[in-house]
Amino acid sequence: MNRTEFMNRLERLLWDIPENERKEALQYYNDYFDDAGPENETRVIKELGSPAQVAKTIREGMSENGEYTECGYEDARFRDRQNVSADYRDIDAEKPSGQPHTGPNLWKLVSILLLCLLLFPLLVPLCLILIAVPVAVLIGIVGIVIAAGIIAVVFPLVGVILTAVAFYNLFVTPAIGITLGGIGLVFLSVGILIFLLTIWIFKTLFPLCIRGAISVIRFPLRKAGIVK
Amino acid sequence: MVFNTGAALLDAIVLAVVSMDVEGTYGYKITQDVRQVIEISESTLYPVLRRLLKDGCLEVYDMEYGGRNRRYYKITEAGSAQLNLYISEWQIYAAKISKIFTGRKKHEQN
Repeated sequence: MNRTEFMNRLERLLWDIPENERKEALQYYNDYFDDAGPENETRVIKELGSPAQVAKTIREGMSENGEYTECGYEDARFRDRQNVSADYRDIDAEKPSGQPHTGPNLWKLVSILLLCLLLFPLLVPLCLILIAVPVAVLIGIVGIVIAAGIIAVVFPLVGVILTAVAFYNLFVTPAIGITLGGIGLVFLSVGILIFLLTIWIFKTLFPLCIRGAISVIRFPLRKAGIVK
Repeated sequence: MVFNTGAALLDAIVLAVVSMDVEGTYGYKITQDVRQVIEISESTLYPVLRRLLKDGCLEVYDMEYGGRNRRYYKITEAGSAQLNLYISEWQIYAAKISKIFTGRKKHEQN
């Protein structure tokens, strides 16, 4: 990523903050890059981390509305330091603070509630679909597996019986006997093939599907940082 | 570094760094100067400067430099007063800590 990409991405990430705040922040980082010089561009980008991280720092700086939300502010800057003692936070707490922030948070809450209310009719069927589709797929797969299992047992059985009947008929009416024998052997071989296929499904495909499903479920969790 | 820099101490350091230049100084230089004494990431300073600006401890002006406008930060009177407060608080704090440390040393020697 170069400077232009970094700044563009940062600008896009800050789309929802007030325009003057965005301008100030972007000007600061533009100045920063200018003053660091082109020779330091890569180093600065590396040190700043991702545009998302920088955007987060800017947002956290704004959300306190001129005062600290103690732990949040501390954690934002010393995220990777776990040894912050409670006593140190108390020192910060002694700092005079301005008005508590009610305005933006209340609005946020109200708009989230409103959004939930409006999306409710949409969310319910969506959730149902999200549950129903995997269940249907699962039932389908189970059905196919059961069918394959039955075929795997029935086909060889039919094959054996037909062959036996054919063997008997061979001495009475050889033409029918040979035909039946052929059909019987086809049944037998198809049955054995499906039997092997069923075993393969259970041994290989099934664990693979489950592993795939787990990784699909884990993906958003990992993104959110809940699971490593 | 073993010791954490709390928000108040960081404010004090930034104010002290800015106050060293009577004409004011700019974001990159402030960051580099602060990084001489404490370990902080490059993105940490912006929120601090913004807040000090909002609190009236700092003021900004733009001046042309190398064909572009560069933003300069300058300490205000309120900022100087705040810095003096921080410095005196720090001296009391540091003296207390040092006293305990050296006192412990003497104790060991006895």
